[in-house]
Amino acid sequence: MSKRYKSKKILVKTEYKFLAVLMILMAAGLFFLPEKIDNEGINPEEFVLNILKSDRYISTDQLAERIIDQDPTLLLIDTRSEEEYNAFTLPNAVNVPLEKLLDEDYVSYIDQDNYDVVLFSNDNYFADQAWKIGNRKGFKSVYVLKGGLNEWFNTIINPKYPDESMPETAFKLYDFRKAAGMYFGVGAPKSETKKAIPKKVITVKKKKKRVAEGGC
Amino acid sequence: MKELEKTKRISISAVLFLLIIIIGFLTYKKPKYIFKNSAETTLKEIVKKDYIVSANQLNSLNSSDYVLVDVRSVYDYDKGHIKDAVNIPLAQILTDDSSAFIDNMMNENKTVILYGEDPDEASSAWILLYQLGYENIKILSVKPRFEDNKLYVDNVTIEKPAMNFAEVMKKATSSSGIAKKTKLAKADKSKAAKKVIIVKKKKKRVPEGGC
Repeated sequence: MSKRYKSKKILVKTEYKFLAVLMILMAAGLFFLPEKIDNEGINPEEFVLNILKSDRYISTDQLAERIIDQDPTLLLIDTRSEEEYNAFTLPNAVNVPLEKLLDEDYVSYIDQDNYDVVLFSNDNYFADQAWKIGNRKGFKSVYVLKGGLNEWFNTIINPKYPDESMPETAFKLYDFRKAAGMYFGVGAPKSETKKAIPKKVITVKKKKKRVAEGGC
Repeated sequence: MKELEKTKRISISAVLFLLIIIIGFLTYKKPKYIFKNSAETTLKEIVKKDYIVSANQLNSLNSSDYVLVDVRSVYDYDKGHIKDAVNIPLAQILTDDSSAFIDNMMNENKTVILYGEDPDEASSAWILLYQLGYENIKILSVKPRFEDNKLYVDNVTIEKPAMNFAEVMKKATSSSGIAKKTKLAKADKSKAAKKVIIVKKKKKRVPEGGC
């Protein structure tokens, strides 16, 4: 009786031994696995696709409109140096110099979901690079002001009067830019000119309504 | 009998265990392209700005030390390109041919100098390649343009403010001379704009009638 029990015990033991040794070997194998290589943020293929898209750009006109409308979701980030920021910047812009973009104190301005972040610099070169770094890290809803402050001054602050041969839209755009320029403090804004512009906007809206009526 | 069942169960589970591990190994796919440099190191490199080469600096380099790479589209490249430049469109950097070419250049110790439609485009390619671990890469700060079917390559100073913004703003907000001029201009335009609006109304009435 006792002999039989003993032999059974040995049999069971060898079975378990085999499994136990196997497990230990596999566990030991873990030490020799190559270091896990993974991409931080997004992977290169996705990055290329994002770079090629141009939907990150926002025009100066779009930006001016959003500032004038006092869009609460807009957050302007000035990626230039502190001196340049102190000399001139867009209204309510926050200064995040390019080199400090990923610093703990500043990164939270860019890496969040509550605002549409618009990056700008003198041209759009630095802003675009900041966007690319942010995109690599997987930051969402970040935009770049196309043309930067140079374009801002050429279009909003000092717009070019359109040629007579240009289409009506060019004149409308000019009017909008002039009005926007006044909002940002160009010239001595007089009440009559200020009134004239909202009137135009109203007529445009009426037109749209008529189209819908016609479509009945 | 009971013991036999037990050993059977053990061996079945052992086989399953092994199978799962083997399947795991077989399906494990290593990503083809991996970012070797982190966003932080890339940012540091960007700020240093020594990856930017101007056209004058390019002329002083020995032509056997570098290779020019055009990252514009094939169409633009065929229209005209800088002499001896190789075309690798930005969209095709992550292909076997392109990476083999760049690897080759790196092995030969040649500097790859990128240029595109503007420095922005070249910098896109640069950021991508730098993050992939290629460090001997620079960009050319030029802007190619066409005139009379001839390629002109203009030098570009990156991030140069077109004017002193603060001063221009000061003038624009204070001087009345500019303001008067703009007012006059405005009277003209508003008339023109009104005229055009009338024309549009007419057009819209036509579809209404059709309804």
